[in-house]
Amino acid sequence: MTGGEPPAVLITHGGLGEELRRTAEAILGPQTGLAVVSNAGVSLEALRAELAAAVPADRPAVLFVDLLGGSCGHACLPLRREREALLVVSGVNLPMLLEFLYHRGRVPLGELRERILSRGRDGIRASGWEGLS
Amino acid sequence: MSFALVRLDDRLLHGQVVYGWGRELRPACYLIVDDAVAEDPWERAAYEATETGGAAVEIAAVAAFAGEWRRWAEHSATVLLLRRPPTLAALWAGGFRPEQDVNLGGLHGEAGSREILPYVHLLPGEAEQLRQLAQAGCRFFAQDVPQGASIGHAALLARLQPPARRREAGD
Repeated sequence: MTGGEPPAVLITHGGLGEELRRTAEAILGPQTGLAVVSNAGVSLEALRAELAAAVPADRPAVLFVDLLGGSCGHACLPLRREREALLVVSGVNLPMLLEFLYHRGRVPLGELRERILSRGRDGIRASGWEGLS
Repeated sequence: MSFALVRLDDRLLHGQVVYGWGRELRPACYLIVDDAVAEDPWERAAYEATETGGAAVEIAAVAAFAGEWRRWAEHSATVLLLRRPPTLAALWAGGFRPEQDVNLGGLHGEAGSREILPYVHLLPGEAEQLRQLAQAGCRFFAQDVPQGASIGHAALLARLQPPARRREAGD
């Protein structure tokens, strides 16, 4: 089962999440169920409250976080503890976000999870500087 | 006896600390002294999982740290992280006397807080708490990241005055 289109929240430092959403919508078109929460200028408690309000309580959802172990990641902790249906993914990048947005609602949640991770990792390559010490 | 950094930051261990101060100071350890984190296994696990580039992450309750702070300070490669002024005041009352100025680095706005600097917002009573600590000999500086401007002890104390007095002083 796909469980419908799971919503997502981009929880990031500064304006990164908003720019990711803007860029993803420029590529895939307008998106519903894609919220943005920024850590700019707010305490951890305020960040957690804003995040809790942005995440639906009654169905699976994905929290995309930029830095593992930063304030954004720590803000996800209480929700992850309380809601088993949440998936928290760190190191958010454009390839994984596009993969999620395109495939949500089309593939089962387990497959969606693997697609997010594999596309996010596969999007990281390097070309040049070979042989430099 | 000193620490690499003693920092008040309500986010404790996070990006500015690890990627900013950590790369500048190269600490061997980040020590979080906070009862809420120390008492919650989930919180502990989250902070202990922080990618620090090899530095250890230790967590201690306030009372436990107050009794052993000198041992920690001997290493001088520890970044000590406290959430807000009341924690520092509690430690000071227990005998904590850091050699270096205490960094006000990230105290974010909440309902009822007053902005001292863009990254320093004090809750009711905290400015007075910091002034009392200063009178007792504690010194402060404000700076969010290593590349940012540093506000020294005297300038920071002037900003801690109640707004009415600051107006009288032409601030």
